[in-house]
This record gives sequence, structure tokens and C-alpha cells, in this order.
Amino acid sequence: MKGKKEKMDDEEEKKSSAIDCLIEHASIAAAIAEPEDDIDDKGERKQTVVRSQVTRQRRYKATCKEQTAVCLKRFCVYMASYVGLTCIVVGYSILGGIIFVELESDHEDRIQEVAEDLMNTHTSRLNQRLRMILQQHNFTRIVDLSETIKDELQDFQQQTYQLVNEEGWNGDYEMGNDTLRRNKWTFSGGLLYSVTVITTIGYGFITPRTTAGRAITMLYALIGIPLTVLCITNIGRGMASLFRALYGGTFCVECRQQFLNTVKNKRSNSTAIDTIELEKIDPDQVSIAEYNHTHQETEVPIIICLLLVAWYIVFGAIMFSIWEKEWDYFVGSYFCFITLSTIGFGDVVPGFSNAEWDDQVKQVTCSLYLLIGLSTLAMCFDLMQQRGIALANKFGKFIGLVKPGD
Amino acid sequence: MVSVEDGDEKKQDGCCKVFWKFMFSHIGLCAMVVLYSVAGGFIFEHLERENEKAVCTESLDEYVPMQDKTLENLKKVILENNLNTDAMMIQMKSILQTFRNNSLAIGYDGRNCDGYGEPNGPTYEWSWAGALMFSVTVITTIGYGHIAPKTFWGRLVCIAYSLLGIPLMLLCLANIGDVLADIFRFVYSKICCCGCCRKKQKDKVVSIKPTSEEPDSAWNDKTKIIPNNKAPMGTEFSKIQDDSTRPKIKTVDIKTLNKTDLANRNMAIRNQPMIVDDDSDDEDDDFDEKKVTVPLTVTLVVIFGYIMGGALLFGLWEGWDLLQSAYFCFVTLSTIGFGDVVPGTDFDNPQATAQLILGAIYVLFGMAILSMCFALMQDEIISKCTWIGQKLGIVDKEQDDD
Repeated sequence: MKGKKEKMDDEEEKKSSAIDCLIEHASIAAAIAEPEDDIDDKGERKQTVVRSQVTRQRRYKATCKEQTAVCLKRFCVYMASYVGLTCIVVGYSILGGIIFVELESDHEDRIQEVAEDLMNTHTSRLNQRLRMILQQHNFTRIVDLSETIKDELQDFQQQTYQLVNEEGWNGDYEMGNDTLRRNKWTFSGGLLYSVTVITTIGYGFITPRTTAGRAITMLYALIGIPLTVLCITNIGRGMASLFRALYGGTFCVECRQQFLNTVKNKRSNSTAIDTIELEKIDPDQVSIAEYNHTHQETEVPIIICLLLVAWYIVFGAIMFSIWEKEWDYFVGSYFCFITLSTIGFGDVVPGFSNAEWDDQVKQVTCSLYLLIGLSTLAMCFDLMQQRGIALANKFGKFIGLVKPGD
Repeated sequence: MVSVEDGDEKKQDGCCKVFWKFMFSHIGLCAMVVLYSVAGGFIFEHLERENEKAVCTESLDEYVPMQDKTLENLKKVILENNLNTDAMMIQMKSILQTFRNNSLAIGYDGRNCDGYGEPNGPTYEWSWAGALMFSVTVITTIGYGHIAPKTFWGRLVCIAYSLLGIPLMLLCLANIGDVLADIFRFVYSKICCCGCCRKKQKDKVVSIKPTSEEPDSAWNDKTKIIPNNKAPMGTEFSKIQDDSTRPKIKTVDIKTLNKTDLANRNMAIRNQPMIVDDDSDDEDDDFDEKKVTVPLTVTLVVIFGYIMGGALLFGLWEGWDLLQSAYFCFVTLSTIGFGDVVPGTDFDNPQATAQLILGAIYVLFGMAILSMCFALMQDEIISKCTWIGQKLGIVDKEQDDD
């Protein structure tokens, strides 16, 4: 496992070599573009000149192709580095956010108009009915009014509910003298939606209602889910090696001792070490920790990985419950757990509850929390892998599904 | 020297081991998942059903005074203005708007709260079938959310339930995926090998490099799958990278070999490259030692077929149009699970229970089929990616980049 420093050196090397590649490219092109000095009238010389030019061009093309391949390779490797991966995921989410807002905000506006019309219709209808009744009874009977009004109110309410459930209308709220709309499909809403699609969490309080929106969602998910899985796995792996290095360096004094001993022994007597290591390979007799120590690979105990995940959940719970006035710590941790396990009910989401609408900062923070949380989970799975396999092997042997090998 | 007591203990140990072995075998795992979902159905129904009625009554209690107040305000407006149109209209409109916003905030949707469970009354969302669907969506991490636990205990149990259920489900899927993939490959090779393929295969000689590890048992394959599949969205790709340098040897059923055979086989594998011979008389031998790769298109067709089949079924039964039901199937199988479109939620339909149960079965089967397809697709994807990489010049012919 490379240490962090070596990795950074590698990356710098890659960057500078990428630049070198481009410079070389340019210089080769310039050399070819120079006019030939020795253009004589002698045919042979010209021929040889032409031939050499052709071979040079051919060589240039070959080098060009090689160079392009090398450049492309370096670019891909750079993109496959952790910065590149993060950019891919974030970029894809932002792209998705923009697309879905485009597709769905028209529909949302239309629904708002429908809601307005509904209210106007009901007001005027109520008006008419009351007028009719009062005219009939010459303004004397009041009981009938109650019934009529109640009836009209209930009808109005039913239709509003239908609008909410089927078309995703979200109501508006009054702030002073203004009526503000609660738009779901703002940019941050679209961003959160895209993130929930590609991470397969899928809250569901924002969903596409148009045909185009749904079709594009399917396409977006088809590409986005494998992409995100790849990226987050790799980011997790990177974080895991970083964590291992930190853990091995800072906490595990024993590891350092072992490492120093091994180095010392190696320097003095290399063959002896080989035999010692070969003997130690039998995993049934030696604990995995010792095996890993001799191979200078720090192994992080499972309990620390679990604590890491638990800490992230608690951190999220505290942060969100402070923000959301209606939440307590339990609801906050419930939200964090359901989100990180990618179940994603969507019944409680920060930044989208009734009291705290339109807080785009919270919604964006929620998306970030998701992505970082999933990377942390991937890191923990990577850290737990070796121990996990060993444990599973042990269990398998115990119950007899695995025959002891060798 | 085995005393009688030791003998008894061994017997008990043996029983215990046999029990666990059965539980973790293929059938055992499937049965466990089904039982776990059914148990979850009972648990969540018990925890949440009463609360559903209580919540309804609560919101009704809030709603009625609000409605009365609106009534009073409207009457006042009418009497004050004597149906003088313009002024009254504006005031009425503002009262209605307040009424609408309040009723949305309260969340009472007009149902008869006392009539729960009665023939003409509203049906419980948290019926046993609904809770079953809920449990299935929890352990498969789909998580619709159209019903979600609202009580403290319901939420706590939900967290615990998923902590146990999700790994169980993943384990089961990994197991089933392999088995189904083997069956599928077998069937596919039978269909394909109608003589036309046989000639091609006779020319090929597959050599498998010796490995220095113990032969893969079925369990070892899975131990490499399990930790990777436990990752949130399945790290099949990391498994691929681990395995790409080590060609798989398809296992012979180890239970039929005794220890000496095993040792001999190990020695043979280690010392010489194994050349597969094409005597296609011995069909089992063929099946074990030569992996038929199912092309990517076939796998994609299977997945697509399952989605469209489900779309047709649910479309017909629920009255959705084709895009909506295809959308439902896709969102469900990818475990995104929005919950805006869910079968069995139209509670006026008397078949709601059957629809919910069918939905749950569809989900479980879909997961199994997806798992099978991933198992089938892995080899193809590795080779395709390597091919693309080589074409682009990114990947050197002899080695892979990490």
C-alpha cells in the first residue's frame, strides 16, 4: 500500500508528465512544419528528402499515436484519482439537478395555477349557492347556510388533497401579507433528487410527474448508478488506505516496532526472513493480526470501523436535530440511519419539513451529507474486508461448509 | 478414546452444526428471508396499526374546530356584507385560503376515523399485507415510504430489523445468484449446444494456470462475494478487480471427493496446467471445467423482460399506463423506491391485499434475478472493459491498471 506522500508524488509526476507530453507533441509538430532547407533541383536528393520526410511523418504518426495513447492513459489515470472521481459524481448530480428542474418546474407552475383556479371556483360557487339560498328565504334562515358551507368546504378540501397526492402540489404559506409558494423543484431540490436517484436512496417526497421526467429518470439512473457505485467504491478505498496509514502510523506502536524489526532482520539475513514468513502463512495457526504485521499491513479492528459509522450517524443526528425545530435526537438518528442504509423512506427529510421550507442551504448540505456518508460506509467496508473474510471463513469451517484447505 | 459423554456432546455439536449448515445452505437462506419478512409483517402490523387509527382521530380532532371557525368567519362575512359581491369575494377567498393551508398542515384527508376495519370504512394501511410489503422494502433497501413507522417503537424496531435483515438479504442474494447463474448457464449451454456449438468447442483447448491456493469451494467464492456485496450499492467491481488476475477453476462437488482425492487434485493443480479435454460425452465434466459465458445481451434481455413483464402485469391489474408501470418496476428493481407509484395502495379496490402480496413476491424474485444477472455479467464486463481499454491504449496488453 503506498503511503499518502508517495501517492501525492505520483500525482504530481503524472501532472507534470501530462504537461510534458503536450509540450513534446507541440515540438514534434513544429519540427515537421518547418520548411525543408535542402530543396535542391537534383531529383535524387529531393527524393531522399521526400522519403525521409515520409518516414519522419510516419514516425511522427506512430509517435503521435503513441503519445495520444499515453496522454489519454495519463488523463484517465488522473481522472480515476480521487479528485477526478469526486468531480464525476458531483458533476453528474449537478447535471441531473439542472435537467430535472427544467423538466419538472413547468409542471409545478401549471399545478399552482390549477390550485388557484380551484380556489376561485369554489369561492364563486359558494357565493352563488349562498346567494340563491338567501334570496329564497329572504335572509331569515341561518341553519341551511351552515350545511351548504360545510358541504362546499369538504368538497374543496377533497379536491385539494387529490391535487397534492396525485400531482405533487405542495401548498403555499403566508408570511405577513405575502403568499409564498413552496416549490419543490428548485435547484437544490433537483440536486437532492438526483443524488437520491444515483445513490438508490430514493426519498420520494420529490418525484417526477411528467412523462419526460420519468423516462429521463430511468435513463439517468441506468447510467448514474453504476457510475456512482464505481466512484464511491474507489473513493472509499482511497480513504481506507489513508485511514490505515494514519492508524498504523499514529496509534499502533506495536506495528511500528514490528516494522522496524522486520526491516532490521531483512537487512541482516534475508533468507531467514523468507523461511520465517513462509512458516507463518498458515492462517489456521497464526492470528491474522500477526500475519498482517509481518507483512506491514495495518489492520484496523472491526470495532473501530463500526464506531466510525456510528459516529457519523450521531454527528448527522445532532446537526439535523439542531437545525430542524420539530426533530429530536432520535428522529435525527432515525433519518441518518435510514438514509445511509439507502432505504430512504423520505418521511422525514431536513430542509423539507413544513416549518423550514425554502432553505436551500440545508438541502444542499443534506446532499453533501449523503455523499460523504456513503463514501465513509465504503471506506469502512474496505477496512473490514480482511477481518470479515477471515471471520466468515472461520464460521464456514465451523459449520462445515468449508473444508479446511491444504 | 471417546467416552460416552464425549460421544453425546459430539452428537449435540453435530446436530448444532447440521442445523447451522442447513440454515446457511441455499434453501435455508431463502426460507429464512421469507420467514423474516413474514415475521416483520406481524411485528410492524402490531406496532403501527393502533397508531394509524390514533393519528387519524387526532387529526380529526384538530380539523373539526378549525372547520367550525372557518364556518363562523364565513357567516360573519356574509352577514356583514349582505352579498355585496366584490368585497365579500375577496374576504371569502382569503378565508378559504387559510382554511386550505390549515387543513393541509393538519393532514386530515376526510376519512371516517371511527370506521376503520368496518366494511364501508377506510382500510388500514398497516394491515398484515401492508406490513409485509413494508418489511420486504426494508430488507431490500428499497424503502418506498408511502407507509413508514411513526411511533417511537416502530422506528426503533425498524432500525434493528434492517440491521439484521439487510445482511441476511444480501447473503441470500449472493447465494441464490450463484446457483441461478449456474442453472442458467447450464440451460443456455444446452440450448446453444445443439451441435453447432459443439464443433467450435472441439477446436478450443482451454488451459488453466495453476494456482497456489486451495481449490475454491463454493463457500470460498461466496466469502469473497459477501463482504463486497455488503457495501451499500454492491461493490461488484472491486470483486472483479480482485479476481481478474486469478482465473477461476470451476469446482467439482467437493462433498463427493474424499480427502485423498482432494489432496491429489491439489497436487495436480499445483504442478501442471490443466488442459480441458473436449470429450463431450461426459456432460458433467464439461459443465464443471469449462465455463460457458452467457453473452451480455442475453442477460440484458432477461432483465428487460422481467421489467416489461412486471409492467404489463401491474399495468393491467392496477389500471396504470405502460410507462407508469414500467417506471414502477424500474424504480423498484433498482432499489431506488420512491413510493409515489405502489401497487395495492388503492384501498377501494377489494383486491388490495392480493396486490400487495404479489408486489412483495415480485420484488423478491426480481432481486434474485438481478443477482443472477450480475453473476452472469461479471466475466463479460471484465473482458469487455479490458478490450475497450486495450483499444484505447489505456490498458497495456499484459497487465491491468489499478
